[in-house]
Amino acid sequence: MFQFGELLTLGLFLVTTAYLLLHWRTTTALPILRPLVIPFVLMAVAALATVLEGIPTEFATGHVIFWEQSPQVVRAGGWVSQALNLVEHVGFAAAAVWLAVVLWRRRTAAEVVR
Amino acid sequence: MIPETVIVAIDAAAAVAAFAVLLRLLERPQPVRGTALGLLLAVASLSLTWAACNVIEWAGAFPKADIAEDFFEPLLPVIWLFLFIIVPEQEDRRRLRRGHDRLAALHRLAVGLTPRHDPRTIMEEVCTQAARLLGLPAAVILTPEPPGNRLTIRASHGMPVEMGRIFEADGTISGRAFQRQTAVQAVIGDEHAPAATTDLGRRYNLTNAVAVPLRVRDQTVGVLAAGRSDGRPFDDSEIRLLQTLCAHAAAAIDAARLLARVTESEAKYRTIVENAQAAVIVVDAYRQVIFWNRGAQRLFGWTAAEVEGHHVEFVYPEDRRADVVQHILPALQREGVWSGEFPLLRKNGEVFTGFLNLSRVFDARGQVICTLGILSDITERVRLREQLVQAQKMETLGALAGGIAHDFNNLLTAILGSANLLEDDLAKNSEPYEAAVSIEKAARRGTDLVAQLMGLSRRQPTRSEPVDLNQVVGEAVGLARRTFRSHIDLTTRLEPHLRTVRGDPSQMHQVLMNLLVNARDAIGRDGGSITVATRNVELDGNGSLGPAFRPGPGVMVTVADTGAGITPQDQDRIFEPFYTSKGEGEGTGLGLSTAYAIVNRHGGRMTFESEPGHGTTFRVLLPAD
Repeated sequence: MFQFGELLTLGLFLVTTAYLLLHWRTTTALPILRPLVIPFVLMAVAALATVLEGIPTEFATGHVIFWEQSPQVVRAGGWVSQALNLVEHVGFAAAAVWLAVVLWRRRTAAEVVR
Repeated sequence: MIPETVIVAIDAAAAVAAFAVLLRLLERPQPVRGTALGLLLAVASLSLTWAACNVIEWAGAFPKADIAEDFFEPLLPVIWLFLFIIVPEQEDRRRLRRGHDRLAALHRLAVGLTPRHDPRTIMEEVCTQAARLLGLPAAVILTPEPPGNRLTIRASHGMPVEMGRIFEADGTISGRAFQRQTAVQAVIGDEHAPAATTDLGRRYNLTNAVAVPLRVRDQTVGVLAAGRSDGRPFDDSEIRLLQTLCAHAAAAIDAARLLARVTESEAKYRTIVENAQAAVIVVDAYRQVIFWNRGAQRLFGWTAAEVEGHHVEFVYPEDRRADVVQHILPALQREGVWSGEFPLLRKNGEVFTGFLNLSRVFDARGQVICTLGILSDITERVRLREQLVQAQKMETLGALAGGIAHDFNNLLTAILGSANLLEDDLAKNSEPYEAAVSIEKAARRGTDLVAQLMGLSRRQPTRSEPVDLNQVVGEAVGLARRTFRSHIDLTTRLEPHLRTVRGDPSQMHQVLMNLLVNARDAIGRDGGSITVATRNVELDGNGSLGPAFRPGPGVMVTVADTGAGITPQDQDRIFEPFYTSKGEGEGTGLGLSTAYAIVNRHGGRMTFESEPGHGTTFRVLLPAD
């Protein structure tokens, strides 16, 4: 099975990254967007890991074998697959945590008497 | 090998974090709102769902499905893309619209403040505009009370009953903003909020309050305090807007106060200058009149409305304007000031002597902005000065003549004695005898002349007794009638109850005879009339008759003739000793000067009016006994 969803995810993250880089000044100038760049990068890394897990590598037998299931990777003991899996999950989780921290720490610029 | 439980634990943590994000977003933290809020909610929801699906899959609910990876993961970058594209654009549009709205509001405020010159009206306007701009229910402006540790509400929007209320600076956020010179905000009801602010906020159902200082020229002139009821704290942009508003307000209040001070000062100095006795005239660089006070109006006769904007040369006589350009203006340009006497011209064409004090006025950069002229009429002073000079000249000449006369009298005594001895020794009708008689006659004429000279110099003894001038006039006129030619009509107009004067009757007689003889000589052979009149008068003390003249009751004797009159050239010198307009051998030049000296010696004054061809009138003024 061709992992279309994962490729799509990667592609969209690449497009978004390109857009982000092109409009870097505008994005970082906005107080709402500047703190969102890091979570976005974390999610992008996670997406990359997801796609790497699903790259097809062999068509000779008539069916698709993904890179993580290839004999080379399997011979390596499966740690590559597990590392990618870890990056994927940690990336998404870190992005969510970062976002939560950013939102809970927002303050107004004026001195607040409390 | 990484245990599956670790991965699940990470996913669970991700789910918790995403849930926390969701909760926070649903609270709408500043400044996340609108599209950004929606997209972030989507990111959080997807992340939560993704993590939850992973956990559920691990639990075996959907063993063959990979929902998280296939469905939710591709959606996430789409949302991020929207977030990075739409939000900046939307933010730009919102910022633009908000900026436009606020600029328009500030413009309205500035336009509204410009024509206002009363600080309190300005404060009211600022309160109203601040409340309208931010949609606030209440806004007030407080100003410091001396010595500066209390603040008073001077203007209010939404809190009219609080006007004039005084607060201790420490008890309010306004006081803190005033002391710290920065914006301060507080949550009403918070335990750290100042007590007075909390009380006031609760009374008006406010939830948040902010105070922004009004600063201008490094001074805090007041504080703008505002409150809202919707529970939102004041964000950066709102505080910046209030700060801009306060900067406008502080500048307008400062300008209004300065204007009031300048207006008051200008009115004070205008009153002083307007009511100055001297004429104060200000001309611009083109010598056009820009200020003309009441003193100038009194002096020249022109009103300010008539002369302002006109070239100032009209104050000078036409024939002297060239002197102004050639002498006064260069000196003024060189020295910056000029003062002196100069003839000036009234509206009615009369020329008078003025004392001018001209000075150029410079601005801070050293540029001439105008010329200030302070002018006064010194015609009378000049006349008195000339009188004094004349009197001093007479005094000197009299003393000189008297000294000579005294010595000369001794010589004449010897000549007369010798001539008498010769006459006694010589035979009568002989030639030497006739010569001796001629010597005696000449010596006697010399004696008479010496007597006159001694009278001029006061060396002659004088009597002091009450004198009836009517009697003196009667005797003198009687003598004149007998001796003057018949073609001269001599009339008298005597005051019946004339006051007596104190003096020497024979000297008074001499004065009258001198005046009558001069009148006769002025009439000449064509005939005419001489009128002698006496009158009681009140001598005024305005100094017009001289500084030593005693005011009070007096007597005036006038001798008026219809003769040839005195030419203007002679008028200045007729009282000088030895000055005569008569022909050779007809006058000694001592008659009028002697009369003048006698009158002065009696504490009186002698004046005259004369018009060539129409006669002369001499007036003798003497103080009554």
